[in-house]
Order: sequence, then structure tokens, then C-alpha cells
Amino acid sequence: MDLKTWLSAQWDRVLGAGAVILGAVAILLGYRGVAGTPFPAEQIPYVISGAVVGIALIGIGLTSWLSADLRDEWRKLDRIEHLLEPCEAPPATETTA
Amino acid sequence: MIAWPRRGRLWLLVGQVSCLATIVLAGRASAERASSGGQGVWVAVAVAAALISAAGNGVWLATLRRAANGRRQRMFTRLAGKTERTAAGSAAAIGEGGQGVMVAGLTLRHRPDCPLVAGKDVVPATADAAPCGWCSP
Repeated sequence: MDLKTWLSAQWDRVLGAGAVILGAVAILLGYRGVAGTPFPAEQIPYVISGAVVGIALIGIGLTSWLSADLRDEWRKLDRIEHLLEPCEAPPATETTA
Repeated sequence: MIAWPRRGRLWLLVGQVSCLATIVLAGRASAERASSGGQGVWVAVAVAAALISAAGNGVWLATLRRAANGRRQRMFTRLAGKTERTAAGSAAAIGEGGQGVMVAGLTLRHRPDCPLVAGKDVVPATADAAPCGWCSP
């Protein structure tokens, strides 16, 4: 499987991992900004655009990853249903049973 | 096959992007205030947007989980029904003299455990039914 096919099949996991990494980076940058100034009025913007954005991005990333897991389960159910279909269909000829 | 639930995916995407944009704008707006007192409103806006984002994620995951659980439950019901039918057919066949079983509407006689009748509706075999070449009843 080439990279393009893999990316199109696993786009939600890629999105999830990317959002979690971005969120962690945002929190780290926010922390550095807050640590760099002693004034609360200068720290609050870093808290908002660092910590709050980071937490929101991590939430979006985890949701995307869990959604991918549920989609995989859905595909497994598709495969099981596909395997069950021949058992339920009436046999066409005596040679099969 | 039942389709993967896609309804609401666009709304989730729009909602998440809006929440992120609101938080970023609140951060920029708070940076323009000189005092921490005037920034309180923007902190509240940012936290509210983050909470709405989290709620949207939760609703989306709950929707997917409910759909998957419902489908799994339907499949278990189907499998349970099939197992009961096969077991009842085999028991009936054994009870009537052990002549074996046959798939309803067909002419070959099988052992109840023959893989060729596994998962199919079976009835007690008639005396004139030809034996299966696979399981040799």
C-alpha cells in the first residue's frame, strides 16, 4: 500500500494524531509565553491561545481517533455480515449441500 | 450492508472550526486589553467555546457508539436465531430414528454435524433420501 492510499484510508487517524501533536505544541508555547512575563495581563492571552486552544485541539484529535476505531469496528461487522450471507441464502443446487 | 453514519459530520466539522476560531480570536482580543480585568470576558468566551467543542465531540462519539451497538445487537439476534433453528432441526432428526438430516427442499441426507448443512435450515431426513458423499450418514 503506497502512502497516498494509506493516507486516504486512515485520514481520520492522521488528523487525530496531527491535532494532538498541534495541541501539545500549543500548550508548550503557551507555557513558555506565560513563564516569560510576570504580569497577569500579559499572561492571560497566552493561557487562552496556548492552553485553551491546545486542550480543544487534543479533544478534537482524540475524537477523530476514537471515531476511526469505531469505523474499523463497523467494517468488521460488514465483513461478518458478508460471511453470513451465503449461510442464509437458499442453496441453488444439491451439489452444495 | 448498512452505511457508516455520516449525518451530522459536516455540522461537527463546522462547529469545531468555529469553536477553534472563537478561541483564537478571544486570545487576540484579550491581548489588546491592558488590564487583566478587561480580559475576563474573553477568557469566559474562550472557555465556553472549548466546552461547546467538547460537547460536540461527545455527542458525535455517542451517536457513532449507539449506531455500532445497535448493529452488533441486531447481528447477535440473527446469529442466535440461526443457531436455535439448526439445533432444533438436528435434535428433531436424531429423535426420529437417527436417519440424519436434510436441507429443506433438497434430497441428500447428512449427519447433523456435516459441514455442508452448518448454518442452514434442516429437517429430519426421509428414508428414501440419498446419503451425502461427504459425511456418509
